[in-house]
Amino acid sequence: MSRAQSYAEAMIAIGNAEGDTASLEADLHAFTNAVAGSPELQNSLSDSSLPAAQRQQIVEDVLDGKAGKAATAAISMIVGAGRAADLPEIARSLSSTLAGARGSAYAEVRSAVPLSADQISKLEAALTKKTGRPVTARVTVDPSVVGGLVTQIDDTVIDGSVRRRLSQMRETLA
Amino acid sequence: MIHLIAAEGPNGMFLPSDIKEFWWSAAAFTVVFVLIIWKLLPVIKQGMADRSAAIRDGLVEAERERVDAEAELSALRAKLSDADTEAARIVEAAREQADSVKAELISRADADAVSARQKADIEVSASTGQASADIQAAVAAQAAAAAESVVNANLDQATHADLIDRYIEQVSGS
Repeated sequence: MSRAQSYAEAMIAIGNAEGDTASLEADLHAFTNAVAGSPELQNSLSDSSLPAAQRQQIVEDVLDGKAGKAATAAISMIVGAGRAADLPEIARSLSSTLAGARGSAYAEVRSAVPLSADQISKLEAALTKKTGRPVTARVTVDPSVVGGLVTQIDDTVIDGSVRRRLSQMRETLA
Repeated sequence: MIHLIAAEGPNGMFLPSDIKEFWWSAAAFTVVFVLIIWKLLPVIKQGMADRSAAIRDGLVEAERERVDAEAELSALRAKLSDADTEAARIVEAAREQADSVKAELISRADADAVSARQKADIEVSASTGQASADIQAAVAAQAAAAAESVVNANLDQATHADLIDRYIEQVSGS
């Protein structure tokens, strides 16, 4: 079991104790997306020269009033332990574990633009057809994708991004 | 006859006028002659013999010295001949060594020239290959950047939606 998976299961245990894993999952993904979209915040939380209490205070300031107490405490603990860089993997593992517990699969989707509910629904249906399991997709906006989508289910990555095609073109020309 | 001659008296001839004087003279002469024969002749003979022996010894010594000189001359001639042979051998050895050194220097120079030419060929080839690769990489980077700019400029909302729809179709169909 990886470290991220251990943290994910600990957070699931906290969510189960609170009786609301869904909110915990949503808060964790929201915070992870916020950190990914702010290099300054990312650097501050990963700066080992800052005292753990100061990093935890940053987390609490960011999540103040926007996340549940359990999620805030768990994220604060992870950042205080110096594992801020592991948050995306922890969130992915948490969602995957929860989906697995429900008998479904979790798909993390990166897109250059937000997806409509209809597109997400169609994508989940396509992924369900492909994997043979019900798939819950969570979409993250990532401009580096340029266009198209990148989907990760467990260890499988389906890369249909324009970024990949540009990279392939660059490699072919080189 | 003697008396007759003596009877002539002082006549200025060699016989004394007194016959007695003749006899006394003859007796004295005989005594002296006998003494000479008796005492002086052996000494003379001995001296002559010694002288002969000395001369003979001298001749023998001279002959021996001559033989020795000839032997020494032969030895010197032999040594001179050996010296000439040794000198010729040294000259020949020096010539052979000089030829060997010359051949080795020529061979080494040829090998160095070949090595330098090969090294130069390799360096030229490597430089050409590296330059070609650098140019190709630069062109590839420029082309990829240009392509990305073109793609970014043409990726409107409809294109994004089209890319996402096609991705979903591919996932569903795969």
